[in-house]
Amino acid sequence: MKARLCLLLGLLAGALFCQAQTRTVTGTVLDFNGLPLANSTVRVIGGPATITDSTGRFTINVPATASNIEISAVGFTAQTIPIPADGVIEVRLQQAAAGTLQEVVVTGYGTRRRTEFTGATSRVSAQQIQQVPMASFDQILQGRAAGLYVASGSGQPGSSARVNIRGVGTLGGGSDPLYVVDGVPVEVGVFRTLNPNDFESVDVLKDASGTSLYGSRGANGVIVITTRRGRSGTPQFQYRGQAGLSRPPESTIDMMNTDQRLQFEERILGPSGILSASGGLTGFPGWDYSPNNPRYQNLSAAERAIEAARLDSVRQINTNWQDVFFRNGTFTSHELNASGGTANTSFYTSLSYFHQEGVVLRSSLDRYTFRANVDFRTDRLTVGVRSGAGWSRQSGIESEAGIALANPIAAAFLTLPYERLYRPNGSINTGAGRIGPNAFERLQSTTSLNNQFKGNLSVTAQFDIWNGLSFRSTNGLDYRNNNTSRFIDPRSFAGQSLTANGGQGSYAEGNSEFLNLITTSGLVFSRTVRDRHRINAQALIEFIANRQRNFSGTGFGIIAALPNTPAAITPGSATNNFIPLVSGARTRNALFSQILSGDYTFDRKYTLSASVRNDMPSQVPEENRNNIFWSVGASWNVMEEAFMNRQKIFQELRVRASHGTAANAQGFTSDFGYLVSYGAGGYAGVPGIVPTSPGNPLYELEYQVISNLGIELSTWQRRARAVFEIYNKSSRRLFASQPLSRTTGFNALNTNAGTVRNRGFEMTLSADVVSQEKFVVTLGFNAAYTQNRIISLGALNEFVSGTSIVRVGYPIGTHFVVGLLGIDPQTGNPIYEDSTGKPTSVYSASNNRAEYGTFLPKWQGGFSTDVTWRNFDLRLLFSFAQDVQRFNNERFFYEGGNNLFQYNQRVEMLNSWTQPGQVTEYQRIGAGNSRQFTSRDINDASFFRMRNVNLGYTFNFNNNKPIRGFRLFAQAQNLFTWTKWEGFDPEESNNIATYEFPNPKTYTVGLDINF
Amino acid sequence: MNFLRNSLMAVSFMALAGSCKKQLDLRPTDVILNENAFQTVTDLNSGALGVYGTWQQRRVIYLSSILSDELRQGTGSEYRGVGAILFRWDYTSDAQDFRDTEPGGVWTNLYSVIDRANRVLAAIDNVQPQTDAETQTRERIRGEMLAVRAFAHFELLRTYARSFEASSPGIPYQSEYVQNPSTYRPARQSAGEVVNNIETDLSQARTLIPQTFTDISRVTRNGVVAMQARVSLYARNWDSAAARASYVINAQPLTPRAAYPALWTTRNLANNQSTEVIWKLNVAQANVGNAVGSLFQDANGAVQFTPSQKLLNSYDSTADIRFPTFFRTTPRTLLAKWGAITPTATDNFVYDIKMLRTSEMYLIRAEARAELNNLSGAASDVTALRAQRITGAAPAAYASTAEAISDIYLERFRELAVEGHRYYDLKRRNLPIERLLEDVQNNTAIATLSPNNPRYLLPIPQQEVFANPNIGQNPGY
Repeated sequence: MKARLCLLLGLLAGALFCQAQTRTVTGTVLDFNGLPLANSTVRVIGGPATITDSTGRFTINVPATASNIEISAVGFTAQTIPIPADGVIEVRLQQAAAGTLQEVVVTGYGTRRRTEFTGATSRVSAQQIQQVPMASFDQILQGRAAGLYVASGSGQPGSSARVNIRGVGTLGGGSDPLYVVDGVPVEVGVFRTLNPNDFESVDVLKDASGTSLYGSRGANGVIVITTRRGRSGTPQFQYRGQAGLSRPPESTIDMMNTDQRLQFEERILGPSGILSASGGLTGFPGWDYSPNNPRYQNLSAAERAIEAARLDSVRQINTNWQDVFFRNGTFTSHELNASGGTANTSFYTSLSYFHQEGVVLRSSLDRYTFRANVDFRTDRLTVGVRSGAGWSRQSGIESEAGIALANPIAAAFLTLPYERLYRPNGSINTGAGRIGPNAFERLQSTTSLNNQFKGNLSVTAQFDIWNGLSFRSTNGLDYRNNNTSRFIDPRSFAGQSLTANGGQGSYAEGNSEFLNLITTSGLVFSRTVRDRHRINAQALIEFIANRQRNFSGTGFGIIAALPNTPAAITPGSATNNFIPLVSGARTRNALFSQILSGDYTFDRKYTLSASVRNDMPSQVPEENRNNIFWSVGASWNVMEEAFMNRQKIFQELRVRASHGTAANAQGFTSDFGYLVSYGAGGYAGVPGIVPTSPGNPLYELEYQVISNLGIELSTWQRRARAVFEIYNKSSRRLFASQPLSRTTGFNALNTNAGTVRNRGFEMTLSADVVSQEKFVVTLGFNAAYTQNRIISLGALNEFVSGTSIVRVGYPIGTHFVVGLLGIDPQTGNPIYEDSTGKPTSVYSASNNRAEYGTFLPKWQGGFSTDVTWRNFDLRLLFSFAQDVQRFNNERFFYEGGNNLFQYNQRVEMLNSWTQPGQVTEYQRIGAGNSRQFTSRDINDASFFRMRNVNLGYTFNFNNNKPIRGFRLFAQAQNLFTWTKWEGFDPEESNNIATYEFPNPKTYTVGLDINF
Repeated sequence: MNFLRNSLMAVSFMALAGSCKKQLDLRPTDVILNENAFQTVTDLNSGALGVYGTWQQRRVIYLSSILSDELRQGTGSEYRGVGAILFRWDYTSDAQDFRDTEPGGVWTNLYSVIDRANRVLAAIDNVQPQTDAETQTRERIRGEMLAVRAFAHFELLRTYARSFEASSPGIPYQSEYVQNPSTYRPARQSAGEVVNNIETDLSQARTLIPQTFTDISRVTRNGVVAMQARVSLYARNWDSAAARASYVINAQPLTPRAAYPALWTTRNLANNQSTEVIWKLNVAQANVGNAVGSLFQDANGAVQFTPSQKLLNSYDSTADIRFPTFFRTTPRTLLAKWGAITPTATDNFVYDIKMLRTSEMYLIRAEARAELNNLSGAASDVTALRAQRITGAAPAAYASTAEAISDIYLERFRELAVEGHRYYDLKRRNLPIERLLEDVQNNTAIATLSPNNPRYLLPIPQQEVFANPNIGQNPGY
């Protein structure tokens, strides 16, 4: 009840403050988003001037002779407009040209002129986000902002990416930035049901001046999304449509064909082969039916003929399993949006449909979204309502990114080429061990659907109290419901293999719900005194409540005539074994905060900023609940100094610095992870309890201190622009999973320990190399260098995490394996390295070394080229990541791992060692010589990719009816990739390659019509 | 005036919002807090059930049968490589098979069992029984937990220690749960110390569990004595081994030949002490992951391991009731002791896991008697067992201890096949693992493992060594 009260309070308070008054000539200045623009200059031509207040409002006495008024603000194109008869003016200033330094920064707690903001930020504009054929907007950000690393882990339509701002500063916690949409924090990694075309801008806050405002949620950086707002005036409509095709990328690995495979079987099993199998049948036709097999000598002529025929019939089959599982996927999207309004109200609304098929069978996404943004204003009250809702249905593949034979990408590599997909009677050739047919049948006879509803709502009310002091309240929610369902057809091989539950298929359905509620309210102050002292200040309190719950059930004994519905479930009994499974969980957490922040600018030259925030998260023990964060920053706008008038080199020059703290709260293993706890753990179905967490009374947030120094400049008559940043970020008391001696009964303890440092620099360069009236060429480049290092581990010993080691002096994600020097030409055995790097023939985990790099890139960034010639425009985006090493786990399976016989191998395995003196990369196949995970499996995953190319033609008609204009375009996504990586796709969100869904190449054509 | 009113409202709003702080005192809905976990005897029983449910004997059986000569790898493309490196004796300490959640992760599983038992034991004195019956139940649970803790340590000792000799390196014995896990890094105790601790716990358990308690899915008094008998066998305390085995033999007779197949085809044996099962771990659909049969055959029928020819050859396939009970031979040879999927019969492998059986007690007593040079006594035990298994079996007769031991080992091989004995039996007498060439596709490299080979002794899992450098790895890893 209290929580609800808290949330309603803001709105109530806002509404009660509502009062009305009138003056001579009044007006409001808004930015391109429709946000009130404080401190803009309003000047009567040939008369007095004034400045807008924090709500964008002004009042001015106008001489009777005056007819025009000029309005200007830093970051915006100035406008001159006639004074209307009613004396009420609303002006919306358009953003100054993209890529210039005259931008604004949206921090989520307010909007600042970039020239007076002390922090490091990057802005991605609407133009760069819109109409890219990807459902999840985070994927679209790749290569767009310096220091923003976006790594796409999956080509499944709708999947989200790994996003890191300025490296990874945690061991066991989350490294995702905080995402804020119109003032409301939204769930990480759940973006597929948001329409990126609705976004006006995306601001990336990278240092303390921005992130410290967010306290315990800010340490990984903040991505602030502002959705589009309506423009007053006659309603304008826009249709946007796109259609296209996704194609699978080409694998750089060649697998054996049937001839090669049969030859290989004879080699590895035959008498001259290394296993020296003889006698009985092995189950592999290449050797079993070979005339070189000793059993051949004992066969009669008739039997020999039969075997020769068998071998021949096997030889006739040569299935290309990649062709079986991959396909070309279609893509379609349609959108209709409208914008308009009167002097005091405006709206923006959109409806969209998005359909994309993945390049692997069965994968797809269908999405419907709706948005309605409304703004209205009375004399002293401004209210903005932002509402978005969407529904999407994602159809997934089996065992995505799993080392599992049901994963179609694994099956495409590993199925033997002489397996047939279909039996002669047309049915799928399933059976024990038949990898490809089983995986294919699974895709046909099962479903894996995820229906998502997502709603975002926020209401911001601002009431002007007196002379620059206002009360502001933002209240909102982010809601997501996932309904997952999974059906396994009882008639299928997959359904009949469910022996545990009666072998007659299954139907599962689950719901999971996520709800974030936020209220932020308090006083804001904004005032400019005598045009020299500009002051902004805020005192806010904030309360965030988060609830999550899920419930799912699986039923068995499916009636085949009722596919894909829970109605087909047969009630379970002890005799039929169709006992349904149900499970679920719920949890909640809360955060209460107090925020003070302010900045002061003197004479447009010097800005000082400071903030303090106290965060009280519920996830830590009560003693640890007060967490103070602070920041200070300063900026010097050198261009405003008198001495700069004498030089002609720079048109803009600014230096700024910031220092402050933040923390990461994404790392608590559970909302109650600090408590010793017990949970359900029965004995053969009889309920019992078992300890589930050893508890940690010292559990706390992960702290960070970040310092930043930046320089922004432009030269060549503003045609060349540059921003340089250098930073040092130290994350302490890291979330870590400390491996425990198993004698404690637990495998790991969730704790805080150690320090990780990220330091680096970023640069953003752009230049209009051609700048003519009808021909503009702009080149852009951004790059970030990140040096990540574990500085200490506190009370922890260094420990192994998966295939990586956490070791002081090394970066996070450092691979930890035994070195492989090569293959001994005399014996065919591998020559490993011992722990000091000396050759040894013995493979031992104690010889693991940390010399093979990490999957976190040292360098990453993007290049862009924008060409405009008459009505044509061409935009290219390249992205790159350098110095990336990933563990290619896929190799193990097609390069002679344990399952040499069962899985198809790469063609080069035919070169595996057979005789002394042979120089080869592939070791002798045989007993006592297992293929081990070694440095051979750590591979360079650096890449340079043509991420997007878009060619468009825009035409605007002179008479606006019925159509004002259109834009026609064609684009390609991921057209070329340059890499040394072996496999489908070097780009991935984690350290290990496990047959992930590769990123497709997508080609589309589109049309936008304005009417 | 308006200003004043508005300001007042703003201030009162701020004050009200302060009450949101109370919203931070959230209590979990999905876990039981430590202070609430054990308040009644019923809670203690829930904790005890959690302990039994944790024990995955399939892991011990997996290691013992694949390392030894009981099984043969599957062939063709249906074989997924399960246990391949164990079968080839080609493991390192970091092998996947030995990790926490893997079937060979005995170390992690049994220490988890021990911790959970210790937590129940730690809470037990804080629970005040309300009735006499509750008092008895509480003390019985104490006995069960002591016995489980002791026997789990025994399993760990025989898996990770080279021998039971008193001075030989053993394992850490956990007599209480660890309060500060982040700094707990125990070293090994000697095998002698571990055995002493096991004996202490078991003798206490024996007095705490009443003879009237007959739930064979939990540890009964007979169960404790059977554990003691096995400990004596491994520790080569022949007199006590014979005496303890006799106690159990007298309390629970052998299952006769006619009823023997039902012992293996009944999924959930009733609490009936007329059968020879002294202690079993229940398996039901709810904990199907604990089943043994699914280690060797996939749910879709793909065969990962079949019985070795050596094992099959050891039986008289017509006279011995165990042969058709333990195996299927048509259309292909399969292990059926823990269930099997054939073209005509499906199976979900849900069978209780027999932990202690009377037939083992006969074989323990026979071995003890042989060592004590009571050769006729040894022969009579083997004869008694064979009478209930093989039609027309000839009575055993031994001329020497060595001959007796050899015959007893043959009978253990047959009777206790794939129940988690073979590898340990060979190891406790330092015997090589010897497979038939036909069981290894004529690959001589994996036909024999000498006790001198470092791989003869399993490594302490690398995960433990990384977290606890004090543990001391076994030689050769």
